[in-house]
Amino acid sequence: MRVSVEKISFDCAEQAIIQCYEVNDDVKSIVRFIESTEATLAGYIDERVNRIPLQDILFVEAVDNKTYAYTLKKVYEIKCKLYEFAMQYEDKQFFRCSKSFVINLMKIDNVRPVLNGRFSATMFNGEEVIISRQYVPELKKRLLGERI
Amino acid sequence: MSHFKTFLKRCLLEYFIITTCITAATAVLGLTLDPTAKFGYESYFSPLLFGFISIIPSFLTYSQKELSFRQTVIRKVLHVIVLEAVLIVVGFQVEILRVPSDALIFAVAVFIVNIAVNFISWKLDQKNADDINKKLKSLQGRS
Repeated sequence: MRVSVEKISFDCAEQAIIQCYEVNDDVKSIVRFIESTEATLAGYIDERVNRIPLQDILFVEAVDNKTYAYTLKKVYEIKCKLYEFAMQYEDKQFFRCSKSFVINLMKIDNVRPVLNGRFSATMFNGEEVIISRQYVPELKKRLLGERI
Repeated sequence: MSHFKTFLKRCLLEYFIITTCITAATAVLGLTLDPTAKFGYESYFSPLLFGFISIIPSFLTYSQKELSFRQTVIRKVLHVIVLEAVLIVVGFQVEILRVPSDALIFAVAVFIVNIAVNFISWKLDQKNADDINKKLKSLQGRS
């Protein structure tokens, strides 16, 4: 697909138009990604609420019945269960990679194999998150389109 | 895919790697230790049989739960010990091994094959990781 970007003046509203033969999975994925760049999530630091842009979240972790969203500089508590977050945002750029983690695929620097069929993902902030072996085939399917 | 299916798929892959490595190890050891030996067609079953026996101890590394790094290492060590013991016992039973010094050479060969299998498995995982990294980079517009 050819991509063209046009700069506009500040008095016009920004928009993305996709011209395609059919609305297939690739197009839907592009639409979801563009929509997700606008989305925000309520995150709490010391009971003060903040709006976190979804695209700034590196990963989400569940610890002791609480759920935390990690950005490059801050850690926010979010008031939903990990599985709820995963279900709600899995069709965007998020991926459930283990029992306790959901990672942002757009914020992974690289992945490498570790022992016993597991992979380790290095995020852009240098943190390592384990992709458990149960989720590795799913990640391959999602990114490479392989059958599981 | 269930844990068990993934495990069986991995076992099958390892089985083929093991049989290839056993064939190579037999050729090298045979040429070194007993280059004039003659074999019948039945000897072609030997790598298949030893490959199958070698896979059985792999069940020690299987767990429904996600194992910690420490647990994984302990199971891997246990796996090597059981693998060596089982193959040496079978080796003496089928009379491939006759004296303790044979067992020593055989144990070293098994250890080398085991390292080779783990290395090849790791290389396959590394290839998967490279494919994933390529896709991630293209998704993120970094390629």
